[in-house]
Amino acid sequence: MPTYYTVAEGREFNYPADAVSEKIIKESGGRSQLSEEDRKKVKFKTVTEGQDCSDMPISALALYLERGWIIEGRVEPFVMEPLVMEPLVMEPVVEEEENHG
Amino acid sequence: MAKYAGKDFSVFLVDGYNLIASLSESASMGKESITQQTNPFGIGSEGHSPIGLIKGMLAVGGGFFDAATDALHNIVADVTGFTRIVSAAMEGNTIGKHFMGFEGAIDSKYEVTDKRDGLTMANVSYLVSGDVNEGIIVQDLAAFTASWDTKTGGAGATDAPVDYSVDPGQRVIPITSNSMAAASVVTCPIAHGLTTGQIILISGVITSSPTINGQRTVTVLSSTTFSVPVDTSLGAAGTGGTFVLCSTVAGGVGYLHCTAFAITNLVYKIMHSPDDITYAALITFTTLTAIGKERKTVSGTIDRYLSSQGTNTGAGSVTVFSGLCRN
Repeated sequence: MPTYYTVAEGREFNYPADAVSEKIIKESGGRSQLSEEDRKKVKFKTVTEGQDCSDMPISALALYLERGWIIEGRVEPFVMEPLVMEPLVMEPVVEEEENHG
Repeated sequence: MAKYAGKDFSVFLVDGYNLIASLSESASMGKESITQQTNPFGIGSEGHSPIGLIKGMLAVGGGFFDAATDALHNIVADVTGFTRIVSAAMEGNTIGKHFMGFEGAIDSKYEVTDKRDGLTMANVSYLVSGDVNEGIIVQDLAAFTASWDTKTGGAGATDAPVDYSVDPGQRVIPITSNSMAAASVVTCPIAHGLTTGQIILISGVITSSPTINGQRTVTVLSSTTFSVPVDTSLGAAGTGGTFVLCSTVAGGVGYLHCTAFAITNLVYKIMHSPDDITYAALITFTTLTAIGKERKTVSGTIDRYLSSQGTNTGAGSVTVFSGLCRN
């Protein structure tokens, strides 16, 4: 069953927006060590309470999950209920008599 | 050992006003544990027991008397009934250096002294009925005309995040050895003072295979032993080395002073990170719309790297100072 992760109440995170950005940052030794050139290549994203953060770098995701700062969810398989055809019952038409007094 | 002088004392903020230019002779700040004398009769030496109270001390000697707006006289001449927030940076106005913070119902003694041959001076002493904290400058007192973020300052930038593992105020704990085990057990010759889940930076361990050097999350086993998630069961045990803390677990206090404000509003946050890659908001201060100050407490874990992030709205300039004190 696939899992997803959301930001817990009152939390906010900022992390590399994609794998390429994460790789560049790791090779630089951290965000504060990026060269001027590399800084132009990397992108970041910010997620707040209730938003999906499944694409967070795995080491931080594991740590924050343990601390309860993010919440794990599972995608339940979608099950279609079988359609049951109810027999169509025609109600007899009853004509109302006009009251002529 | 670093030494500092009067020229390094560059920030003295009271409620968002920088009074450093008013100081000329001396300033002293400190804290004292209140004790009660406990030695009974018949004992030849004094005994004292702490009663769990910390007293803050703050005094300015020989400040220039200056009745201009935002100068010493106007900020401190009202001597009673005020809750003030004070931050003082004795090691320089530099990110990563230490500062002291005070908050509380501060009553002060204020006296102006006139001399026949000399400038008129003022002395101020505060009686702090509140909190005293020591911490690290996360944002030096600086003006910004646009939003900023110190974690993306770049290599060699002075506006960089603060790395707690290199804080000179940290105690370096020695390691005796680490065992061969699925989770290697580290033994220290003294109490390590750690809590399970805390992150440390180990260095200098030799012969361990694989090495346990690096940033590790600990599981505490006793007051002098803990394990790290490194499988050395098929390798070799190690000896020697030291560690320092990368994270703290008892929360802390953030200080923010805004000394000049000419924009629409400012959202200011202190962020923290275990790895300088992913950052989490640690403290979000109340949105500023004028000169002001705030002291805000935070509980739980504070990670290794601290950064300063300001989001400006409106054209103009804003000047802020911020620091964080770990408990």
